[in-house]
Amino acid sequence: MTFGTNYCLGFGTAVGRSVEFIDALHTPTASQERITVIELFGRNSGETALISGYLAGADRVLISEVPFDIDRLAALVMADKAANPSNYAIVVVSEGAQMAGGGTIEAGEPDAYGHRRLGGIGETLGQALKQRTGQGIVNQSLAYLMRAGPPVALDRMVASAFGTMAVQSLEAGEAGLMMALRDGNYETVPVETCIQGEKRVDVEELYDADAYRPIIRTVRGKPMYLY
Amino acid sequence: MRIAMLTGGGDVPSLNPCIKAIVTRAEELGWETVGFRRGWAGPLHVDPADEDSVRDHVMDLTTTTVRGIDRTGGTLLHTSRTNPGRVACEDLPRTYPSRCGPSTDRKPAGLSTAPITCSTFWKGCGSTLSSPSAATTRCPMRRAYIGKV
Repeated sequence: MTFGTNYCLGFGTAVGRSVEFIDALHTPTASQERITVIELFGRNSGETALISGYLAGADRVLISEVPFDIDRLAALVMADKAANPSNYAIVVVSEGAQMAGGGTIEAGEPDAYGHRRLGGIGETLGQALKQRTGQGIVNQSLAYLMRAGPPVALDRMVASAFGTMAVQSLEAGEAGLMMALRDGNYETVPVETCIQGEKRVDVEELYDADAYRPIIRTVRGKPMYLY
Repeated sequence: MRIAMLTGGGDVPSLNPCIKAIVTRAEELGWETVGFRRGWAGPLHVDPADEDSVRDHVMDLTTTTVRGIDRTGGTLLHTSRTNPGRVACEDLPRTYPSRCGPSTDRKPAGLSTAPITCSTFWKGCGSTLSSPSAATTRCPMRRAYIGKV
């Protein structure tokens, strides 16, 4: 069951930036034959990590929805590195991901919505990998770079359409509606839609919880970002 | 018709093209558009009797002021995590003195008593979670939302 809508404003830019940076991080990682751990924003949804890791060809992707076993992961990453002709590996981790037996890593005071800042799992994971594998680790948190700078054209398209549709909706005397993309079309939905749940990765459909990587097998009939 | 808009929560890229599209279409219809600055902190702190507060928290928007903003990330109106349904007493503006007696639970109703004029709101879903329904009953405004969901 898909919760919410098909598209979240800014997602195209966040994923686009992430893919560019993950792509770019291949070169220093390869030259130094290391393991790079890249932490992405996404709060308690691993969606940004899943899609960006999938598109950028990361070896392993750790999402918020599935706690990972560090020993198992270390073995998988060492195998990835050995199988790579350039002898390196890339791991993408969502800021809300947690090591099995651990919790999410949060900092600071809760804001007015009760949210504390997530982040730091990348550093923790890097240290744990180094301890277990003895390999050189590069830690890189993309954080605000994911949403810094100009929006990509896809976001400009959807945002402009949403803005125009909002005025159209008011012109029609409507109220309490949220602009949305649903089933590939511009539609309005009740504003309550956004508090009816939390959109998280459909693990059954899109993630191999043993191999810690995206697995996309069926696509027909799914929305653009697959759920 | 007069549209007031604000952007709350995270500053996702493309809020600016969205603002521009609203202003552009509204102007074609002969409607006025204003922006509250800094998310819900804008309407919360604006006092129509105090020119400085209006200048600081309200921004007139025209196709001239929004020209070119679609090329930039962030939000022209700035944002905040202010939750209108949950504002600490010490953070309330002086227009809410009665709400800050010793018996309050330090979570005043926020916008239900805000001295804002009837406007139509547009806001991001990032800070919708506890938006005050009372605001709509006191003031016949209509809201349209552009969520980040």
